[in-house]
Amino acid sequence: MAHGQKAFARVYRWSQWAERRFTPAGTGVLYLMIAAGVFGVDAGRTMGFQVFSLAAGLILCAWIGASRWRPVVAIARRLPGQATVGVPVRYRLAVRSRSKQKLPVLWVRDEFEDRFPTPAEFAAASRRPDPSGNFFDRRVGYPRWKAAVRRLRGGHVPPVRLAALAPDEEGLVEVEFVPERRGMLRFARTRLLRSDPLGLINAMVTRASPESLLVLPRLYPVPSIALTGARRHHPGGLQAAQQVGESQEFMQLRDYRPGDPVKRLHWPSTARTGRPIVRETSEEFFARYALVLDTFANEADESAFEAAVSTAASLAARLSLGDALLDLMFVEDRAVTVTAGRGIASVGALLRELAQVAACTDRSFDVLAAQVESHASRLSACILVLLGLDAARVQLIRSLRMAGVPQIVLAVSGLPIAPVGGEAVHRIDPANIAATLAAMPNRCA
Amino acid sequence: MRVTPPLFLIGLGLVFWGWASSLVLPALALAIAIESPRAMRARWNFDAKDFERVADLCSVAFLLLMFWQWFGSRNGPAGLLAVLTWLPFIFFPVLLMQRFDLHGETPLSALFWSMRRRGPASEARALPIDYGYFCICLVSAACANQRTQWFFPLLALLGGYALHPARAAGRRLGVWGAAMGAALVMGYALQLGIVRAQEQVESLVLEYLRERVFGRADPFRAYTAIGDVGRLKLSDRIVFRVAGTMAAPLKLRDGTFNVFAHDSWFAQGSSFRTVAPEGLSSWVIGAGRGEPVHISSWLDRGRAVLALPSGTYRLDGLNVGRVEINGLGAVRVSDGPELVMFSARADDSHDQDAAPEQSDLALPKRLEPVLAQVLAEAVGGGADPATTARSLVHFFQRNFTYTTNLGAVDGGRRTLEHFLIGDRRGHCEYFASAATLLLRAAGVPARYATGYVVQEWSPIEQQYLVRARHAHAWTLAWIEGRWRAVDATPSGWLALESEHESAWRPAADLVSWLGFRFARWRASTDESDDGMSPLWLLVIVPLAGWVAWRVTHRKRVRPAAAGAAQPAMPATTIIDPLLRSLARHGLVRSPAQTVRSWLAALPFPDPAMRLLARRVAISYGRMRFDPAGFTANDLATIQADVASLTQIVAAWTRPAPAPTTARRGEGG
Repeated sequence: MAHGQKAFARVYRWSQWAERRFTPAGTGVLYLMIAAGVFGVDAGRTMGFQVFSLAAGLILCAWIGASRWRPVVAIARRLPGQATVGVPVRYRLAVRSRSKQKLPVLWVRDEFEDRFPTPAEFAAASRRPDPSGNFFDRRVGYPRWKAAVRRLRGGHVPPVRLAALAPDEEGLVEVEFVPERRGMLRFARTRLLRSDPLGLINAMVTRASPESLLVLPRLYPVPSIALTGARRHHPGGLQAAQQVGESQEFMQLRDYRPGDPVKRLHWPSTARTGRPIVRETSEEFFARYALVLDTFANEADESAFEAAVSTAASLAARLSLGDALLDLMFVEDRAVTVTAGRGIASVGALLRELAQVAACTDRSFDVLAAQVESHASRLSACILVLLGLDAARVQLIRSLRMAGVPQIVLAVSGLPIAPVGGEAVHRIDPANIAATLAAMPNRCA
Repeated sequence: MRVTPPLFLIGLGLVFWGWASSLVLPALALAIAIESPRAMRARWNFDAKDFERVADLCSVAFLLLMFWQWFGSRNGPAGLLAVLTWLPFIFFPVLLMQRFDLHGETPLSALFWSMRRRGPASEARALPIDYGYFCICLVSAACANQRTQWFFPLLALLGGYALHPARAAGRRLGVWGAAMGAALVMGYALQLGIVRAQEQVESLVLEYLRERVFGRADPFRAYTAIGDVGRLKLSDRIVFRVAGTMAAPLKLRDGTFNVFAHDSWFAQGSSFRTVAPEGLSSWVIGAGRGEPVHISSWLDRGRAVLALPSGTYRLDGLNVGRVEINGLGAVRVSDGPELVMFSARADDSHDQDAAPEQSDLALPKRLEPVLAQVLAEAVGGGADPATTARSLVHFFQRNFTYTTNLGAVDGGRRTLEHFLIGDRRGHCEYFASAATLLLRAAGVPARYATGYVVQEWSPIEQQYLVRARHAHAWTLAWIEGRWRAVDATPSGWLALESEHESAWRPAADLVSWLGFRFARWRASTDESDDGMSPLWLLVIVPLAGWVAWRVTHRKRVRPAAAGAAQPAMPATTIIDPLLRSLARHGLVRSPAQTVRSWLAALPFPDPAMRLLARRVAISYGRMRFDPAGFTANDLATIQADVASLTQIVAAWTRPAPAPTTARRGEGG
């Protein structure tokens, strides 16, 4: 970590400590003490030294009142299975008092693991344009660093009040917070805060409580999409069908014809009718769609990449599969295809994959193009979620068209996209995802 | 964990501030105004922009006052404390607005410019600023510096009252009282300790300064550059401006010294006495007849030793708190503004300096042989004091060279001996010191005088300019029963000094003149200590009126019930936009269905929409059936939720009915 970032980390830890230790009233008294100290440094010129002394006396007394508090407690967290970015999550914290004395009214503060940005991550964050950045931020960078820490943390759980507990009594508190990023949120510890009699300084106990919560990407309303395209014969689809226990689809019973395999004889009917009867089956034909996510974002395109992930997740959640398969295709350190539908996996599995997908920075778009093109012959339709529209991406669109795969092309970009060779491309604006996604075409071109 | 201020806290804080700053009546008026919303039903639905306008106006007023106190008043930087004393008054409109606002909160964007650049989400963040304003009242009261024993007890009472609501939940009042008592005792002891500690530190620092640090204008000691080598660098900075009908060159004296030791001059046995004022700004030192000389001089933090013509007996228009004079004629002033413009009347025949003493004939043992040798060469013997003085001046003019560029002597310091019998080159300090000592050696009482020579006429300013490089030293000799100036320095020294003036001098003079004119203008308009001119009110009042009209115009809402900030509109009005938006999707509520159950049953595809709908339904129910318990915060919440949901619904394409066939493979 660079020298400056070490200083940032120290300041951040100190500010977090102060936030935990001082109640809002205590913070007010502390600020008053500092202001009065500044203006009252000359005791002959102002009476600020008396305001300073009073505030300092209050802080000192409160500090003494907040010392030596060691309750024995057990804390358990009851988390939901998963959460979604931007959607409030509610869960419960159970606090059991094992002290022999009554536990007073407390504040419970659940905290996430603090991970500080690496120099590379911070440098990438610094390169991103920030219209709200002020002179101090540009010059010093601490607010930007703090924002990066908050982004990595993924959320903030506000303190909740816990009623007084009798010895060996368990208290339940309902906690609500809003996840701010997708992926795995890691809870690290739970703190119990009890303010001193003056209500200025908190006494505190900390219990380690590591746990994780998977947060799905932010979802937006999308129009109902009718994916066109013929059903296709799937040799691989047979394999898929076998996984649910059916080798072939039953069509009808008919009389035996010379050359029919003996294994197709339907023995109950043969016995009933007294002549050989065979089962007739059909080959496996079904629709298979692809949802292709472009993960080739550069560092400065974080918002565009997140918009693309959210777009893909919103589409995956919205698509009505019926008896079709949906292949989610993207590239991380390797090309990945996750299939849902027909009992293989649910859409939830796709969302869980999308929750943790990371941008690919060390490979080219050709890897994804090759992956999609190799599956093109089996696809009934395809939705491409692209990051911009360059020559490689246009080439993929054209090759799919040549293969006769109907497609919907969404390009995530903050800037208008020039039409390319008659290809119908709908732009998703990262700054206005909901509106631009709601206006997307609902039929394949 | 938000703490609600106790009843009338702000009013009490304002009264405390008014008491401390001797503005009881205005403070009472403010207190009544700030507490009046408790008895009034009128409320306004201000938005963030309104708050920002008012806060900006207050900030402008604050900056104007700061500017005025720094540049426009006579108080200088110390005047900033006066601005701090006025803070509760300056920022009063923001709190008053919050008190009359429907939501009772101040948007943070009004207080922090950075929040305005972070979009609507940041602008929507708001807080009540009551406690912050209360703290401003306390700090401002402290800055008023009311030195009374009642300050701390009243402060403690107010502090205890303010913190009472913050006490820990479930704790007994007695425990809180005991803790508060202990805190007050600690605070009281600490403030006593601070006063004692400051006294000790000041005493130590003064002792240190007395021993180690002396300035040029120290009336008790004059350092000389005797012994220094290289070019004596003198600045073109203008230190005085002098006007009048006197004949130039005129010498303005700021110090007289009678003891020479270790190449420095000291003033011994000359304590200061206070000069009695006559009227508001006249000071009479003695009697005499003379034409006035008008001097404009800058003071250093209100204090200075004045440079005055010899024989000054009266000072007029000198607006300072104290004038002192010592037996050697040094005049010291204190408690003055940064610039003084006064008239000095001088009469050479009525000298205010003490008669000669034995110390005015004392010679350093080390120099006696050299002085005797040079005296014999210059004067011979047996002449009267006036002739001796004339002979000495003539001797120096003829045999010595004026220079400010001196070389070292055998790698060491230059001495007065080297000046007298060596290369005979030096600057005015050498000439004045040598002449003083030679006169003493001839039996004529003599003193060393320092000051400035007035000789540079400025056609632009129509007055004389005195620069730092016009600083001079000469001798006062007791001739024919009074002290007369004897200047042994060759007459061409001023021309030599001018040769080294800076190329930037004209530009620097112009800046200095503009600064002087500005300082003179503000001194002439500044009649009160607070420095608030009615001209400013002509700017501030119409501006404040315009802002007040802008922020209150058409913002008033009708209160639902007396005495509480409850919703001023029916619940159905709040959710109307949402209902209309849903109706466009064909989702119309049947009259038999409650809003709550209907919203809960709507086919929203997104969990966020479902959650918002649930929150709106619950808030709507509370607003509809429990209006008394529905606070302004609740109203703001439901308005925000309805707005968000309406926006989402507007961009939402309602899905087709769900397919009847179950999706295969669900749950994998």
